[in-house]
Amino acid sequence: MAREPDPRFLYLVEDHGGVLLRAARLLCGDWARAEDLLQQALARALIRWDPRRPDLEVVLGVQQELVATYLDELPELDQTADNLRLAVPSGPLLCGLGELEPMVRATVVGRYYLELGDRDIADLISVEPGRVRHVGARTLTWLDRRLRFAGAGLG
Amino acid sequence: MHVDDTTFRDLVDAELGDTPPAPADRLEWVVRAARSNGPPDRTGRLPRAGYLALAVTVLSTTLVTGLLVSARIGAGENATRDTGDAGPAVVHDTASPPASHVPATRLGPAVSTSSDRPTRRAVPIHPPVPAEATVRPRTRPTAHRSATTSRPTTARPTTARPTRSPTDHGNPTNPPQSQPPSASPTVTPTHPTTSPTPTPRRTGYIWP
Repeated sequence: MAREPDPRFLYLVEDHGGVLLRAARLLCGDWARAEDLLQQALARALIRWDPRRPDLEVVLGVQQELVATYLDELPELDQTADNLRLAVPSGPLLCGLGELEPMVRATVVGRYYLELGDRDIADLISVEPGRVRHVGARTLTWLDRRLRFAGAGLG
Repeated sequence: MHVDDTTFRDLVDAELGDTPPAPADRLEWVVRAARSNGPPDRTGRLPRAGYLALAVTVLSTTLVTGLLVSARIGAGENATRDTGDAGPAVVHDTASPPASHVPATRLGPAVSTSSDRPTRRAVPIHPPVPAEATVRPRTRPTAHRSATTSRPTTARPTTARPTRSPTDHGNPTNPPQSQPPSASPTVTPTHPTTSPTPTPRRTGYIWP
Protein backbone atom coordinates (compact mmCIF):
# COMPACT_ATOMS: atom_id res chain seq x y z
CA MET A 1 0.00 0.00 0.00
CA ALA A 2 1.40 3.35 -1.00
CA ARG A 3 1.06 6.41 1.07
CA GLU A 4 0.28 9.91 0.00
CA PRO A 5 3.49 11.90 -0.59
CA ASP A 6 4.40 14.32 2.12
CA PRO A 7 2.80 17.73 1.45
CA ARG A 8 6.12 19.32 2.30
CA PHE A 9 7.76 17.47 -0.53
CA LEU A 10 5.09 18.65 -2.93
CA TYR A 11 5.53 22.20 -1.74
CA LEU A 12 9.27 22.07 -2.24
CA VAL A 13 8.86 20.65 -5.73
CA GLU A 14 6.39 23.33 -6.69
CA ASP A 15 8.65 26.01 -5.24
CA HIS A 16 11.80 24.83 -7.01
CA GLY A 17 10.24 23.12 -9.98
CA GLY A 18 11.02 25.96 -12.38
CA VAL A 19 14.74 25.96 -11.69
CA LEU A 20 14.85 22.19 -11.82
CA LEU A 21 13.07 22.08 -15.15
CA ARG A 22 15.35 24.68 -16.68
CA ALA A 23 18.38 22.79 -15.45
CA ALA A 24 16.97 19.66 -17.02
CA ARG A 25 16.47 21.62 -20.23
CA LEU A 26 20.13 22.68 -20.17
CA LEU A 27 21.17 19.11 -19.74
CA CYS A 28 18.89 17.56 -22.34
CA GLY A 29 18.44 20.35 -24.83
CA ASP A 30 14.69 19.81 -25.14
CA TRP A 31 11.74 20.77 -22.98
CA ALA A 32 9.91 17.52 -23.47
CA ARG A 33 12.88 15.40 -22.53
CA ALA A 34 13.59 17.80 -19.70
CA GLU A 35 10.15 17.11 -18.29
CA ASP A 36 10.72 13.41 -18.51
CA LEU A 37 14.09 13.76 -16.86
CA LEU A 38 12.68 15.89 -14.07
CA GLN A 39 9.88 13.43 -13.50
CA GLN A 40 12.36 10.60 -13.14
CA ALA A 41 14.52 12.64 -10.81
CA LEU A 42 11.55 13.56 -8.63
CA ALA A 43 10.45 9.96 -8.44
CA ARG A 44 13.94 8.92 -7.34
CA ALA A 45 14.09 11.73 -4.83
CA LEU A 46 10.72 10.72 -3.46
CA ILE A 47 12.03 7.23 -2.86
CA ARG A 48 14.77 8.67 -0.66
CA TRP A 49 12.44 11.18 0.95
CA ASP A 50 13.12 11.71 4.63
CA PRO A 51 10.80 14.19 6.37
CA ARG A 52 13.43 14.89 9.02
CA ARG A 53 15.79 16.49 6.50
CA PRO A 54 15.69 20.26 6.19
CA ASP A 55 14.44 21.94 3.04
CA LEU A 56 17.87 22.85 1.73
CA GLU A 57 19.02 19.26 1.92
CA VAL A 58 15.89 18.09 0.18
CA VAL A 59 16.32 20.53 -2.67
CA LEU A 60 19.98 19.65 -2.91
CA GLY A 61 19.05 15.99 -3.04
CA VAL A 62 16.58 16.58 -5.87
CA GLN A 63 19.21 18.54 -7.81
CA GLN A 64 21.70 15.75 -7.37
CA GLU A 65 19.11 13.24 -8.48
CA LEU A 66 18.48 15.32 -11.57
CA VAL A 67 22.14 15.27 -12.61
CA ALA A 68 22.47 11.60 -11.67
CA THR A 69 19.41 10.68 -13.69
CA TYR A 70 20.75 12.58 -16.66
CA LEU A 71 24.03 10.71 -16.47
CA ASP A 72 22.17 7.41 -16.18
CA GLU A 73 20.02 8.19 -19.20
CA LEU A 74 22.91 9.28 -21.40
CA PRO A 75 22.69 6.40 -23.93
CA GLU A 76 19.11 7.30 -24.80
CA LEU A 77 19.76 11.02 -24.79
CA ASP A 78 22.78 10.80 -27.06
CA GLN A 79 20.74 9.21 -29.81
CA THR A 80 18.80 12.41 -30.39
CA ALA A 81 21.35 14.92 -29.18
CA ASP A 82 22.53 15.93 -32.65
CA ASN A 83 19.00 16.32 -33.96
CA LEU A 84 17.95 18.39 -30.99
CA ARG A 85 21.00 20.59 -31.28
CA LEU A 86 20.15 21.40 -34.89
CA ALA A 87 16.41 21.60 -34.50
CA VAL A 88 16.08 23.78 -31.45
CA PRO A 89 17.08 27.40 -32.04
CA SER A 90 18.84 28.90 -29.06
CA GLY A 91 21.37 31.53 -28.06
CA PRO A 92 25.16 31.26 -28.00
CA LEU A 93 25.29 29.95 -24.44
CA LEU A 94 22.80 27.18 -25.08
CA CYS A 95 24.50 26.28 -28.32
CA GLY A 96 27.82 26.21 -26.50
CA LEU A 97 26.37 23.94 -23.83
CA GLY A 98 24.98 21.66 -26.52
CA GLU A 99 28.46 21.23 -27.98
CA LEU A 100 29.96 20.08 -24.71
CA GLU A 101 30.52 16.50 -23.71
CA PRO A 102 27.78 15.18 -21.43
CA MET A 103 30.09 14.95 -18.41
CA VAL A 104 31.38 18.48 -18.96
CA ARG A 105 27.85 19.75 -19.48
CA ALA A 106 26.72 18.14 -16.27
CA THR A 107 29.67 19.71 -14.50
CA VAL A 108 28.92 23.22 -15.78
CA VAL A 109 25.17 23.02 -15.18
CA GLY A 110 25.61 21.56 -11.75
CA ARG A 111 28.34 23.95 -10.69
CA TYR A 112 27.09 27.26 -12.14
CA TYR A 113 23.35 26.81 -12.56
CA LEU A 114 22.32 24.51 -9.74
CA GLU A 115 25.20 25.77 -7.60
CA LEU A 116 26.14 22.34 -6.36
CA GLY A 117 29.38 21.83 -4.53
CA ASP A 118 32.47 20.47 -6.20
CA ARG A 119 32.41 17.40 -4.03
CA ASP A 120 28.77 16.71 -4.81
CA ILE A 121 29.44 16.89 -8.53
CA ALA A 122 32.59 14.85 -8.15
CA ASP A 123 30.62 12.13 -6.43
CA LEU A 124 28.08 12.13 -9.23
CA ILE A 125 30.54 11.84 -12.10
CA SER A 126 33.18 9.88 -10.19
CA VAL A 127 36.12 12.29 -10.48
CA GLU A 128 38.16 14.33 -8.05
CA PRO A 129 36.74 17.64 -6.80
CA GLY A 130 39.79 19.44 -8.15
CA ARG A 131 39.04 18.07 -11.57
CA VAL A 132 35.50 19.39 -11.34
CA ARG A 133 36.78 22.83 -10.39
CA HIS A 134 39.33 22.86 -13.19
CA VAL A 135 36.96 21.67 -15.91
CA GLY A 136 34.21 24.01 -14.76
CA ALA A 137 36.44 27.08 -14.81
CA ARG A 138 37.98 26.24 -18.17
CA THR A 139 34.57 25.58 -19.74
CA LEU A 140 33.16 28.80 -18.35
CA THR A 141 36.06 30.68 -19.88
CA TRP A 142 35.35 29.00 -23.20
CA LEU A 143 31.66 29.94 -22.99
CA ASP A 144 32.55 33.52 -22.14
CA ARG A 145 34.79 33.79 -25.15
CA ARG A 146 32.07 32.28 -27.33
CA LEU A 147 29.51 34.72 -25.98
CA ARG A 148 31.81 37.66 -26.66
CA PHE A 149 32.43 36.51 -30.19
CA ALA A 150 28.69 36.13 -30.69
CA GLY A 151 28.09 39.58 -29.26
CA ALA A 152 30.66 40.99 -31.61
CA GLY A 153 29.03 39.25 -34.54
CA LEU A 154 31.83 36.68 -34.87
CA GLY A 155 30.10 33.64 -33.41
CA MET B 1 28.55 40.68 -21.89
CA HIS B 2 30.70 38.63 -19.62
CA VAL B 3 30.02 35.17 -18.29
CA ASP B 4 31.25 34.12 -14.89
CA ASP B 5 29.93 32.08 -12.01
CA THR B 6 27.64 34.88 -10.85
CA THR B 7 26.11 35.84 -14.18
CA PHE B 8 25.90 32.44 -15.78
CA ARG B 9 22.47 31.64 -14.40
CA ASP B 10 20.92 34.94 -15.38
CA LEU B 11 22.31 34.79 -18.89
CA VAL B 12 21.13 31.23 -19.40
CA ASP B 13 17.65 32.05 -18.09
CA ALA B 14 17.52 34.96 -20.49
CA GLU B 15 18.27 32.66 -23.39
CA LEU B 16 15.80 30.04 -22.20
CA GLY B 17 12.95 32.52 -21.94
CA ASP B 18 9.77 31.66 -20.15
CA THR B 19 9.60 28.24 -18.61
CA PRO B 20 6.60 26.28 -19.82
CA PRO B 21 4.15 25.50 -17.01
CA ALA B 22 5.05 21.87 -16.98
CA PRO B 23 6.23 21.19 -13.41
CA ALA B 24 2.69 21.12 -12.03
CA ASP B 25 1.60 18.53 -14.54
CA ARG B 26 4.77 16.58 -14.10
CA LEU B 27 4.34 16.74 -10.38
CA GLU B 28 0.99 15.06 -10.74
CA TRP B 29 2.70 12.32 -12.65
CA VAL B 30 5.24 11.94 -9.90
CA VAL B 31 2.56 11.80 -7.24
CA ARG B 32 0.63 9.26 -9.25
CA ALA B 33 3.71 7.13 -9.66
CA ALA B 34 4.38 7.39 -5.96
CA ARG B 35 0.85 6.26 -5.21
CA SER B 36 1.13 3.28 -7.51
CA ASN B 37 4.58 2.19 -6.45
CA GLY B 38 4.71 3.41 -2.90
CA PRO B 39 8.45 3.96 -2.80
CA PRO B 40 8.76 5.68 0.58
CA ASP B 41 6.98 2.92 2.44
CA ARG B 42 8.71 -0.01 0.86
CA THR B 43 12.22 1.23 0.53
CA GLY B 44 12.84 3.70 3.27
CA ARG B 45 11.07 3.72 6.56
CA LEU B 46 9.23 0.48 6.93
CA PRO B 47 12.29 -1.74 7.33
CA ARG B 48 13.60 0.45 10.11
CA ALA B 49 10.24 0.43 11.83
CA GLY B 50 10.05 -3.30 11.35
CA TYR B 51 13.44 -3.87 12.94
CA LEU B 52 12.53 -1.58 15.81
CA ALA B 53 9.23 -3.35 16.38
CA LEU B 54 10.99 -6.70 16.27
CA ALA B 55 13.56 -5.59 18.82
CA VAL B 56 10.87 -4.23 21.12
CA THR B 57 8.89 -7.45 20.79
CA VAL B 58 11.87 -9.62 21.62
CA LEU B 59 12.85 -7.51 24.60
CA SER B 60 9.33 -7.39 25.99
CA THR B 61 8.89 -11.12 25.52
CA THR B 62 12.15 -11.81 27.31
CA LEU B 63 11.21 -9.51 30.14
CA VAL B 64 7.75 -11.01 30.58
CA THR B 65 9.15 -14.53 30.45
CA GLY B 66 11.73 -13.67 33.07
CA LEU B 67 9.10 -12.16 35.31
CA LEU B 68 6.85 -15.18 34.93
CA VAL B 69 9.68 -17.58 35.69
CA SER B 70 10.77 -15.64 38.72
CA ALA B 71 7.19 -15.38 39.95
CA ARG B 72 6.72 -19.10 39.46
CA ILE B 73 9.88 -19.89 41.37
CA GLY B 74 8.76 -17.62 44.16
CA ALA B 75 5.36 -19.26 44.22
CA GLY B 76 7.01 -22.67 44.41
CA GLU B 77 9.10 -21.67 47.38
CA ASN B 78 6.13 -20.25 49.16
CA ALA B 79 4.14 -23.36 48.51
CA THR B 80 6.94 -25.44 49.98
CA ARG B 81 7.06 -23.42 53.13
CA ASP B 82 3.37 -22.93 53.58
CA THR B 83 1.72 -26.18 52.67
CA GLY B 84 4.48 -28.62 53.27
CA ASP B 85 2.75 -31.25 51.19
CA ALA B 86 4.49 -33.95 49.25
CA GLY B 87 4.72 -32.13 45.92
CA PRO B 88 6.97 -29.23 46.69
CA ALA B 89 8.87 -31.27 49.22
CA VAL B 90 10.28 -33.39 46.44
CA VAL B 91 11.65 -30.35 44.72
CA HIS B 92 13.00 -29.12 47.96
CA ASP B 93 14.69 -32.37 48.70
CA THR B 94 16.36 -32.60 45.33
CA ALA B 95 18.13 -29.39 46.12
CA SER B 96 19.07 -30.55 49.55
CA PRO B 97 21.96 -32.93 48.85
CA PRO B 98 24.51 -30.14 48.91
CA ALA B 99 22.86 -28.96 52.10
CA SER B 100 24.03 -32.08 53.86
CA HIS B 101 27.53 -30.70 53.69
CA VAL B 102 26.50 -27.28 54.87
CA PRO B 103 26.68 -26.48 58.53
CA ALA B 104 23.40 -26.52 60.33
CA THR B 105 23.57 -22.85 61.16
CA ARG B 106 23.15 -21.84 57.52
CA LEU B 107 19.93 -23.73 57.12
CA GLY B 108 18.20 -22.44 60.17
CA PRO B 109 14.90 -21.09 58.91
CA ALA B 110 14.52 -23.43 55.97
CA VAL B 111 15.10 -26.40 58.18
CA SER B 112 12.52 -25.34 60.66
CA THR B 113 9.83 -25.54 58.01
CA SER B 114 10.79 -28.86 56.53
CA SER B 115 11.79 -30.57 59.72
CA ASP B 116 8.28 -31.68 60.51
CA ARG B 117 8.12 -34.47 58.03
CA PRO B 118 11.49 -36.02 58.83
CA THR B 119 10.65 -35.80 62.50
CA ARG B 120 7.46 -37.70 61.97
CA ARG B 121 9.28 -40.37 60.02
CA ALA B 122 11.86 -40.79 62.71
CA VAL B 123 9.44 -40.92 65.58
CA PRO B 124 8.19 -44.43 65.03
CA ILE B 125 11.76 -45.67 64.82
CA HIS B 126 12.97 -44.09 67.99
CA PRO B 127 11.87 -45.13 71.36
CA PRO B 128 10.13 -42.63 73.55
CA VAL B 129 12.56 -39.99 74.73
CA PRO B 130 12.32 -37.31 77.31
CA ALA B 131 11.01 -33.85 76.58
CA GLU B 132 14.49 -32.47 75.97
CA ALA B 133 15.17 -35.15 73.43
CA THR B 134 12.05 -34.40 71.44
CA VAL B 135 13.42 -30.97 70.71
CA ARG B 136 16.63 -32.36 69.42
CA PRO B 137 15.48 -33.56 66.01
CA ARG B 138 14.34 -30.06 65.25
CA THR B 139 17.76 -28.71 66.07
CA ARG B 140 19.47 -31.03 63.65
CA PRO B 141 17.28 -31.03 60.61
CA THR B 142 20.24 -31.16 58.30
CA ALA B 143 20.87 -34.68 59.22
CA HIS B 144 17.27 -35.57 58.59
CA ARG B 145 17.14 -33.76 55.31
CA SER B 146 20.25 -35.41 54.06
CA ALA B 147 18.90 -38.67 55.20
CA THR B 148 15.67 -38.15 53.30
CA THR B 149 17.46 -37.59 50.04
CA SER B 150 19.97 -40.37 50.04
CA ARG B 151 18.16 -42.44 52.62
CA PRO B 152 21.28 -43.70 54.31
CA THR B 153 19.37 -44.54 57.46
CA THR B 154 21.54 -47.52 58.05
CA ALA B 155 24.79 -46.11 56.73
CA ARG B 156 24.56 -42.92 58.61
CA PRO B 157 24.59 -44.40 62.05
CA THR B 158 27.73 -46.28 61.19
CA THR B 159 29.68 -43.04 61.25
CA ALA B 160 27.80 -41.08 63.85
CA ARG B 161 26.44 -43.56 66.24
CA PRO B 162 29.71 -44.93 67.53
CA THR B 163 30.55 -41.55 68.95
CA ARG B 164 27.70 -41.89 71.39
CA SER B 165 27.87 -43.99 74.36
CA PRO B 166 24.87 -45.79 75.69
CA THR B 167 25.34 -44.00 78.92
CA ASP B 168 24.70 -40.58 77.40
CA HIS B 169 21.57 -41.67 75.68
CA GLY B 170 18.46 -40.89 77.60
CA ASN B 171 20.22 -38.82 80.17
CA PRO B 172 18.04 -35.79 80.73
CA THR B 173 20.84 -33.84 82.33
CA ASN B 174 22.97 -33.66 79.18
CA PRO B 175 22.53 -30.63 76.94
CA PRO B 176 20.86 -31.19 73.56
CA GLN B 177 24.01 -30.41 71.52
CA SER B 178 25.97 -33.20 73.09
CA GLN B 179 23.12 -35.65 72.82
CA PRO B 180 23.24 -38.13 70.01
CA PRO B 181 20.26 -38.62 67.78
CA SER B 182 17.40 -40.43 69.35
CA ALA B 183 17.71 -43.27 66.88
CA SER B 184 21.05 -44.35 68.22
CA PRO B 185 19.79 -47.01 70.61
CA THR B 186 17.76 -48.68 67.94
CA VAL B 187 20.54 -48.83 65.41
CA THR B 188 23.33 -49.70 67.73
CA PRO B 189 22.26 -53.31 68.09
CA THR B 190 22.26 -53.72 64.33
CA HIS B 191 25.96 -52.80 64.18
CA PRO B 192 27.51 -54.05 67.32
CA THR B 193 30.98 -54.28 65.83
CA THR B 194 31.28 -50.59 65.17
CA SER B 195 30.52 -49.40 68.62
CA PRO B 196 33.75 -50.49 70.32
CA THR B 197 36.13 -48.98 67.79
CA PRO B 198 34.91 -45.39 67.80
CA THR B 199 34.85 -45.24 71.54
CA PRO B 200 38.38 -43.77 71.82
CA ARG B 201 37.47 -41.11 69.32
CA ARG B 202 34.46 -40.08 71.30
CA THR B 203 36.61 -38.17 73.75
CA GLY B 204 37.94 -35.70 71.18
CA TYR B 205 34.96 -35.44 68.88
CA ILE B 206 32.25 -32.86 69.30
CA TRP B 207 28.98 -33.39 67.60
CA PRO B 208 28.08 -30.33 65.59
